[in-house]
Amino acid sequence: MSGLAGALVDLAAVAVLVIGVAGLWRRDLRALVGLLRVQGLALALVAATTAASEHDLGLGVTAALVVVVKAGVVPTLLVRVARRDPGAREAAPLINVPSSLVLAAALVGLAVVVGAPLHALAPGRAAALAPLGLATVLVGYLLLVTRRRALSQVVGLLVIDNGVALTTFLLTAGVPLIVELGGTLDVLLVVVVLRALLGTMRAHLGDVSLDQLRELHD
Amino acid sequence: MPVLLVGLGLGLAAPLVGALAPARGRTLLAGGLSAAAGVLAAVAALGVLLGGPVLRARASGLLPLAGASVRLDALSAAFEVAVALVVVTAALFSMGYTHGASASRPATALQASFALGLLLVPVAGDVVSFLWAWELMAVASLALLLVEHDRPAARSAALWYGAMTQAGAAAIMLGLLTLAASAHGVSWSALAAARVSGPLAVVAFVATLAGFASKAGAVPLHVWLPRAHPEAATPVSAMMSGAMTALGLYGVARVDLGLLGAIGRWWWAGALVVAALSALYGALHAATATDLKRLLAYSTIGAMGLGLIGLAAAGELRASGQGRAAATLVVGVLVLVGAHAAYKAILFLAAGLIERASGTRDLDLLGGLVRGMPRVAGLVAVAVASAVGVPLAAGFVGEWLEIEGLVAGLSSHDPGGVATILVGLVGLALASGLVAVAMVKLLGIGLLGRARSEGAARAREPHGIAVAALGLPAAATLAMGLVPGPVVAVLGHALGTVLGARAGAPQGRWDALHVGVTASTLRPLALLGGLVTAVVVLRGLARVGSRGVRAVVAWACGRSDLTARMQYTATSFAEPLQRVFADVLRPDIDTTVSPEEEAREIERVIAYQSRVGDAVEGGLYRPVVRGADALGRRARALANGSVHRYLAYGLVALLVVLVVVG
Repeated sequence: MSGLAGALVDLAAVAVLVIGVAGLWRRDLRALVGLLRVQGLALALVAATTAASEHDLGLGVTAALVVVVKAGVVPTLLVRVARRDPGAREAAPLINVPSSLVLAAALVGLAVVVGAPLHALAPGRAAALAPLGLATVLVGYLLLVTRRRALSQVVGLLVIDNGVALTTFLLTAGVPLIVELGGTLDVLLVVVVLRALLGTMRAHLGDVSLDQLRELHD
Repeated sequence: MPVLLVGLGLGLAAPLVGALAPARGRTLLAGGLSAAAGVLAAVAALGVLLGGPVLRARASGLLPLAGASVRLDALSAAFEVAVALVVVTAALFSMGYTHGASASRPATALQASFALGLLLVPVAGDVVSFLWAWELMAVASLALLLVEHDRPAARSAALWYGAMTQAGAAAIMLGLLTLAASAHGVSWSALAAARVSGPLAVVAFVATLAGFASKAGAVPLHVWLPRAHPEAATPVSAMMSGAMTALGLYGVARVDLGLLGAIGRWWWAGALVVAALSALYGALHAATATDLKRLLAYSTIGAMGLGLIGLAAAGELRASGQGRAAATLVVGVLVLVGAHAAYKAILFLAAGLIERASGTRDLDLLGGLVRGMPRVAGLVAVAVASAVGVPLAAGFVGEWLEIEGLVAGLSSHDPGGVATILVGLVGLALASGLVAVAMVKLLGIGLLGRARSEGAARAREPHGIAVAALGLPAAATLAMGLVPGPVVAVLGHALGTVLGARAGAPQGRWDALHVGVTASTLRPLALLGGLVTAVVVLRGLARVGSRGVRAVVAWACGRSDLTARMQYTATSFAEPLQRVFADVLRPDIDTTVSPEEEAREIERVIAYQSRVGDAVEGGLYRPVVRGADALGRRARALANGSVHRYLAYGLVALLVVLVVVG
């Protein structure tokens, strides 16, 4: 891996994490989806750079797939949901923004500490960044736990998925194309289903705040 | 060997046929295959008992870990014959009896699987095969209870049975694996060679004894038995009661007596006390029960308690150096197992026939069945004679040998040992007395006297194989009772496996049975001859001296207008006993008086109801169930329906795993 490619991977990987943390900070739902789009692009950049420097055609196709799905289709679907009530904001997260940023910092620290052994799995410059993927997963989880809006939770889920994808790109230069294809389509399906579900919830319940949903019914 | 393997193969084919064959002929085919499997297994086992070599076979790829192995030695053979007797009888019986819902594909296949499991347990040659066979037996019988899942009683019985049998199987697995780990082998011979002793042996003893005793219905692990046995279909309850409980005793004889090295004799003394209590408890409940099948289920607890007394006393006596008395006891238990298998099969199957013919199994509504169902009544009389311990029937031989063994054990010079054996002796005597009350009640109230309900008066016995099948265990009962000598002689071969020595085994010839340790002899044929002679002589004398004698009905106090309601009922017959043992039985008595409309002093109807619940269930299990329930309710606070809380649990769990692993 040349110096330039290495620097690009470094930059893009850090960008994935930073965008995830920024998701904790922004409360405007449309801005949140915008962040997700940028995160998808950064992820694709990691894959594309690795593919170019390793001359791996499969990984290149994967990068294209990531661009189409994670930076294209999924955010577009979510934006359509967000557009229904413009100006919708995450009213008050369960944990306020400064505290969740502090928590995120702690989680990143934890990920770096416990993720250190990952480096031993695949020696190499990229593998040393693997804890960033783990940290993204934890930050996404935090987003999922602390947000009240259904849409923000979907975003949290997607951040987790991006974190998992980042880890695999960094550690193994991508899983086989067919697995990546399956995983990506899964995410797409989840988003489509959740979008339909959100539409129905809005029709039945009005404003969707998961706090008010306490019981499951047939 | 080929005979046994062909038999097991047929047993394996039976469930497949039951699952695949069309409705017409399904029970005939599956029942026929199961019966054939039982016959072949019994033939192979008899070959071993008569002095043939121990049969062994291994199939390494069949089961994971250790492969499957089959081993038929004399101890296995003794139990295999008893189990096969029940399996063959029940299979032939269901060919004529089973139809409707219990002849469905799943029910037929499961019944055949249960029969196969029963035949496999005694011949399993190592720990892994044994556990597989044991589970096959347990799971198939559990599923059979659920065949009638639309009845709440059956569901509740299945829940209790499932919980108890799985806990028992877990205990047995723990015990056997402890043994196997210390012996570095899984086959019975490897375990026997290792003679594991010390603390691990005690762990294995307690765990396996608890599991096996639960299967044999020992108090306080018996609660599943009086629920499950009456709720199962008739052939299934016969197999459960006659064969499956006996395999609990097989486990104790095989593992605890046969494989474990020296453990303290006081462990065996404790087991003896539990066994005596268990025999008493079962017999007492049997004496007060009014439901025919419930009575039989409790009498199974009593009979298995007697068997456990024998085995525990044998363990105690062997540990204190009285191997000869122990040998008599073990042979007595083996005879008792065979006798119980035969008479309990007859009684449960006959109870099914009676229930179907009269529409009830409540003894208070039966009576007079001997007129409508003479052949069934005759067979039940043979079984009752064996259960009560009337000489000339099989049950007597077993109880006699056991009492002889216990009496021989009293000659020890150590007061603790004598006290323990006395507990066993008293328990045995009292329990057999109470079982006698129960059985006399069954025969006298249920089958003799006058019919107490329309259904009982109209009951007629069916024709065909369902009744004829009962002749097989009846013949076995009488044969064992009349010529016990050869039976006891061949059962002595099992002593080498159980006690490691054959010294002191009772000697048997065709006409006599001799117990060496107490120097007493039983001659049933001579007794029969004397009895016949006495009857002939008395009849002759009566004929000679009765010229001027007028024959009148001596019963009924000279009155001719007696009604069925003036007879003893099952409840009133047992009432004195119930009164004496009220503290143990805790009956729930309900007397309702409805006075006449116009004159309040005149009582029109007095309804008396008494129900005897299970005190152990109420006192020991209910609090545990309630506690678990309360814990579950309290745990609901963890799950309050908030999505965020569930997600937070996931995050915390992930972090904990990361920190612990990292």
